[in-house]
Amino acid sequence: MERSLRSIALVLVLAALVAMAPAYTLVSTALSYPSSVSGNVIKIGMPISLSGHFATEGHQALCGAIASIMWINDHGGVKVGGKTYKLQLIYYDDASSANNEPSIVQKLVTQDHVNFLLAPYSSGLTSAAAPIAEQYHVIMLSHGGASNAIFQKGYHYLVQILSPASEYFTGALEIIKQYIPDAKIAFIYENGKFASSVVKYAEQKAKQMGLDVVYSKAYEAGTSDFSTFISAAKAKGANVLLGGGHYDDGKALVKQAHDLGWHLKFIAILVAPAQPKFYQELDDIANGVAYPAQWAPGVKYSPQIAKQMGIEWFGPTVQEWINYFNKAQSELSACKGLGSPAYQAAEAGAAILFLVKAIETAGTLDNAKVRQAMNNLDIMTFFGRLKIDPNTGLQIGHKMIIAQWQNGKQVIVWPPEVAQAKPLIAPPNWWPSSAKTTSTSPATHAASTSSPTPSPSPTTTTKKTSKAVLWGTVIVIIIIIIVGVWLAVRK
Amino acid sequence: MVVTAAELARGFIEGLLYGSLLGAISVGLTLIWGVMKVVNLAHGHLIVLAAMFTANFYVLYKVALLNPMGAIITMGILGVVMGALLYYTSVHPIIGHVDVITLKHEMATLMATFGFGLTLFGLHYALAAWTSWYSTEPGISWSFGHPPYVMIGSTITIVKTKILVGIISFVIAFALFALVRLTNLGLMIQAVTQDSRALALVGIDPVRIKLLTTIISVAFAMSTGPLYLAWAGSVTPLKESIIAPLAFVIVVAGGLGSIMGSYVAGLILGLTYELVVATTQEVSIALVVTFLILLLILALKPTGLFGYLDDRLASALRRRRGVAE
Amino acid sequence: MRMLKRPGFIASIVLILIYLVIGIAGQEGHLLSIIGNAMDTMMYIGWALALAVIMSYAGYVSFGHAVFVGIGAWMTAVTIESIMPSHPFTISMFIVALLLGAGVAALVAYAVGWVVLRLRGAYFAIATIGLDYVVLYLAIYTLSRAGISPPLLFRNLSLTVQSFYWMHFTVFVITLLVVYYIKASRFGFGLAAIREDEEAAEVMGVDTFKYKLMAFTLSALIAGMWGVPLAFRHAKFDPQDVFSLLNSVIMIVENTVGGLGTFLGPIVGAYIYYGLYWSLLTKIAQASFVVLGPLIVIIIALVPEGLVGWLREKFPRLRKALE
Repeated sequence: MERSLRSIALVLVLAALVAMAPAYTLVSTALSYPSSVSGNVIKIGMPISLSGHFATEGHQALCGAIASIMWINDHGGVKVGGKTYKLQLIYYDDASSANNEPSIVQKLVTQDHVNFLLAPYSSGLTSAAAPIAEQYHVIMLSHGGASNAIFQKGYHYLVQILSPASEYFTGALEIIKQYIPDAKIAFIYENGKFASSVVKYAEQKAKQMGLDVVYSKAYEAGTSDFSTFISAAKAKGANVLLGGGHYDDGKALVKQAHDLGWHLKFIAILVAPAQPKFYQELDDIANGVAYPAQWAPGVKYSPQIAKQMGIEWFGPTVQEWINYFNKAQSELSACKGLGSPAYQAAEAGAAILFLVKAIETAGTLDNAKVRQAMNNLDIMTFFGRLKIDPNTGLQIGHKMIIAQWQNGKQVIVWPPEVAQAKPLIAPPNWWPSSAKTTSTSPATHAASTSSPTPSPSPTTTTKKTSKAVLWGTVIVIIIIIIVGVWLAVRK
Repeated sequence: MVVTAAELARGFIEGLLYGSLLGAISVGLTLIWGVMKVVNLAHGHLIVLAAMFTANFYVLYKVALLNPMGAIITMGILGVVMGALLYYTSVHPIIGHVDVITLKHEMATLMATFGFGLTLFGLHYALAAWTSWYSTEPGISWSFGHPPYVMIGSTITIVKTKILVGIISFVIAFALFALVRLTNLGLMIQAVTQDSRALALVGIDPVRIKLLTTIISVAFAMSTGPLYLAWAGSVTPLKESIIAPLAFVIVVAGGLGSIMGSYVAGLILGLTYELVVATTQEVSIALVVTFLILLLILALKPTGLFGYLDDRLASALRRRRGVAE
Repeated sequence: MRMLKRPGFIASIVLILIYLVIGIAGQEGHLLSIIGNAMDTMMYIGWALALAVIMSYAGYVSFGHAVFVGIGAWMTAVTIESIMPSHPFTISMFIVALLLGAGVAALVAYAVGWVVLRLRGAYFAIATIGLDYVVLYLAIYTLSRAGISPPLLFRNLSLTVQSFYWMHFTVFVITLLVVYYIKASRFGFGLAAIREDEEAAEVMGVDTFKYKLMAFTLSALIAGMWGVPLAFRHAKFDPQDVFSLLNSVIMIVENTVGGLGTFLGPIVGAYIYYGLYWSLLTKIAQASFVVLGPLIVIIIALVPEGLVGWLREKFPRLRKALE
C-alpha cells in the first residue's frame, strides 16, 4: 500500500516535471488578443494583474485596452509609412507582485518582441517595470501609475496617460469650498506611494484654498480596522472625510465610518467607490460617497467639444467605445462579468489611442521617434484631452472628474461643465436629520434638496426580521451551551 | 500628539473586544498543537477560507441565514469536513499510527499542514479565475441595530457589531474549553497526549481520537471566520498573513494546549495592540510591539504564561458541581 | 584537497562555468532573453542554499528567512540614497551594499539567534516569523518617519541587464563556494549530527549551540547578500515585497522538494520551483498554489527525503555522485 502510493506520488511529480519542461526551453506561451493576426502587426506588451491585490482593477484595464484595440483593428488598423498594421496585445498576469515585473517586461521585450509596452496597474508595480523598459528603450505608457514620484526619476520612455496623483482631490476640494463653508476635513489614507502623494498635494492645496484640515493620518497597507483613526477624527469635529487607498481598505473605511455613526457632509474615497460592486456590497451606505475619477461612462467628451476647444479628436466616441467594451465582455472569457467600464478600463483604452496617434504622426515604429512625436501631441479622445509634459512625461492635458453614488447610481457631479447632477451634500444616510438641525448652513440645505435624495432603504423590514432571527439564535446557542456544559459536568 | 482619556478608554474597550476575537481565533490552534503536537500552519488559511466563503455567499444571496450566527454554524459544519480532509491528507500519513511524536514528526506535520494551507490560499484565486461570481476581496454590509453603535459618555462610540463579536467569541472559546475539559470526550483527547498505547489497551482507538481532535480544532477555527469578517467588514486571502502570526503569538504566550490560557493571552494582546494604536496612532509600531512580545516570551518563558488556567478553572467548575475529582 | 574532488564541488564548478558562458554569450542578440531566466535561477538557487545551511543541514526550519533578504535590500537602499547619494553607479557602490547587507543581516541573525536558537522545532519556526514582522514594520516605520511612503524608489542608475547579471553572478559564486565548504567541512558534519539527533551530538562533544549559531549567522549572511542584486534589479526598496513571507515559502519549497541534508537537493529544488514558476505562476499566479500546496503535502507524506534523497535511496550506486 505504502509502496504503491510512493510510486504513484513519484510518477506524479515526474509527470509534473515533464509537463514543465517547456519552461526551460524558454518558449512558454503568452496570452494574447487577438490570438493570431495575419499580415503586418504591431505588438503591444502588457504585464497586468489578473490575480492578487489588483485583480479587479487589472481586469478592467486589460479589457479597456482590448476594447480600443478592437476599435482600431475594425477601423482600418494603423497606417505607418504606406503600410497598414493590425494591433496585437500580448499580456501576462503579474499576480500583483513587483517580483514578477522585471522578468515579465524582459520576457515581453526580448522573447515576444513587442514594439511598445503598456505599464502594469498601480504606481508600485509600474516603478518595478519602468527601469527594464528604459534599458531596452521601449516606450511604456503608464495608465495606472498616478504617482508623481516615478516621473521625477529620469525615465525618458515612461509616458503618463492619466492625471497625476497631485490632481486627484482638487475637484473634491473645490466642491467643499463652494458648498460646505463650515467644513472640517479629515484625511485617512493608505501609507502607499499613490494615496500618500495624493494626500500630500491635497493638503497643500487645501491650505492654499483656506480650508480647515483638522486630522490627517496614514495607515499601513493591509489594515482592516480603522476605528482608532475614525474616532480620533470624529473627536476633532471633522465633518468631511477624504482618503482611502485601494479597493479593499477604502470600502472597509467607509463601512466602519458609517457604523461608528460618523456624521459626514461629504465623503470622497480613492479607487474603491469606482467599482460597481462597491454598491452591491455596501447597499445604502454607498449613497453619497464620492470619488475622484479619471473618467466615467457618462462623461460628455465629444468631437463637438473638441472642435470648440480647437483640439483634434481621435478614436471612438464615448458610446462607441463602451459598445466595444461590452463586445469584449461577450467575446473574451477574461472580460466576462465586468459590468460597465470603470475608469481603469478607460485609462488603458486611452493609452492605446494615444500610442496609435503617436505612431501615425511619427510615421515609424522606431521608439525614439514615436516618443519624440508624443511630445507635440495634443488630442481629445473619449477619455478627455491628452497632452504630456515633454520633459518628464507627466500628463498635463487630462482633467479629473468627481463622481458620486446617488440612489445606487454613479453620477458625475464635478466639474460643472460635464456634470450630470449637482453634488449631494450632507446625504441623509450620512447626515441624519438629528444632526442636520445643528447645521445652519443654507448652502448645505439648498444642495441637498436640489439633488435626488436616496429613497428609504427597501431592506428595512428584512433587516428587522433578520435581527430577530439573529438574537433568537444567539439566545438558543447560549442556552444549548449552558445545558451542554451542565450535562457534561453533572456526569 | 496628545492622547485624550476618552481615546485611551475607547482603546481599552476596543482592545478587550478585539482581544476576545483574537482569543477565539487561537483556541482551535492551541488544541491541535497542545494535544497532538501538530503545528497547524493551515490554521489561518482555514479561518480566512470561512470568512471568504461567508462574504462571497453573502454578496451573492444576501440571505439572513448568512448573517453571523447562521454563518458561524454553517462554517462550523464545513469545518468538520475540512478537519477530516486536513487529518487524512496532512496528519494521518505522518502520525496516524505513531505513539510517540518526535521532533521529526512535528516538523513533518508542520510542513504538511503548511502545504495544505497553501492549497487553500490558491483555492481562492483559482475559484476567482474559474468562476465569475467568486471575488478575492469581498465585503459585507452587516450592521446591527439602529443606530449601529453604542455611545459611552459623549465621545466614545463602539460599533454594536464589535460588541456582538466580542461576546460570541467568548462563547466559542468557553464552549471549546467545556468540550475539552468537562466531557468524557475531552478526557479521551487529553489521554492521547499522555499515553496513546494505554488508551488503545482500554479499547479506545487513538487514531479516532486524533481525527476527532483535528475536526474539533478546525471546526472551531472555521466558525471564527465569520466573526473576523463581521469585525473587519471585508476580507482578502492575504489577511491570513495577519491572522496566523497573531494566533501563533497568542498560543505560545497562553501556554500550549491551554484553552482559557490562550483566550486570556488573546485579550492581553488585543489590549496591547489597541492601546498602542490609540496612543501612537501608528499601526506599524503596534505590530512591532506585538511581535516583540512574542520574541520576549519565547526568550524568557517559552512554556507560556497561563498554562495553569485550564486546570484551575476546570477543577473550580467541578467543585461547584460537587463532583469529586 | 580531497574536498575538491567530490561531486558536489565539481557540480558547483560546472554550474559556475555554465552561468559564466551564459553571461558572456548573452551580451547581445536574442540570447538576451536567456539572461533574465538565468538571473532568476541563480537567485532561486541562492535563496535555497542560504536557507539550506540552517534548514537542510542543521534541521532547523526558519519560516521567516525572507527577513534577511529584506535586510539586504534595505541596506542597498541605505547605500544608494544615504551613503552614496548622487554618485553614478560604480562597482564600489555594489560592494558597499553587499558588505553592508550581508554584515547587518549576519549581525541581526547572531543577536536574535542567541535567543531563538535555544528553542526547538516549531518554536524556532514561529520565532523567525515574528522576527520577519518586527523588521518589516520597523522598516515601514523608519521610512515614514523619514517622510517617504513605501516603496522607496531608487534614482535611475541607468543600469543594464548585463550589470544586473554580473551582480547576480558574483553573489552566486560566493554562495556556491561558501555553502559547499560548509557542507563538506567538519562543521557540516557537526550540523548533520545536530539534525539527526541533537542530544546525541551534544553527548558526542559537539558544541551544538555554537554550531547552530554559526550556521544561522552564515545562512543569514548569504540571504542578506541576495537582497542586494534583488534591490538593484527592482530599482526600489518595497518592505511589503521583500519581507513577504511568500519569499520564505519559496525557499522552504525548494529545500523540501529537492531533499534535505544534501548539497544538490536545494539546487535541484530551485530548478523545479523555477519551472513551476514559469509554467504556472506567470499564467495563473496565486492559483498556482493549488498545485504547489498538494505537491508539498505529497512529498512530505510519501517522499519525506525529497527528490535527491529518494534517488540516493533507490539507486545506491548513485549515492556517491549525488552528494
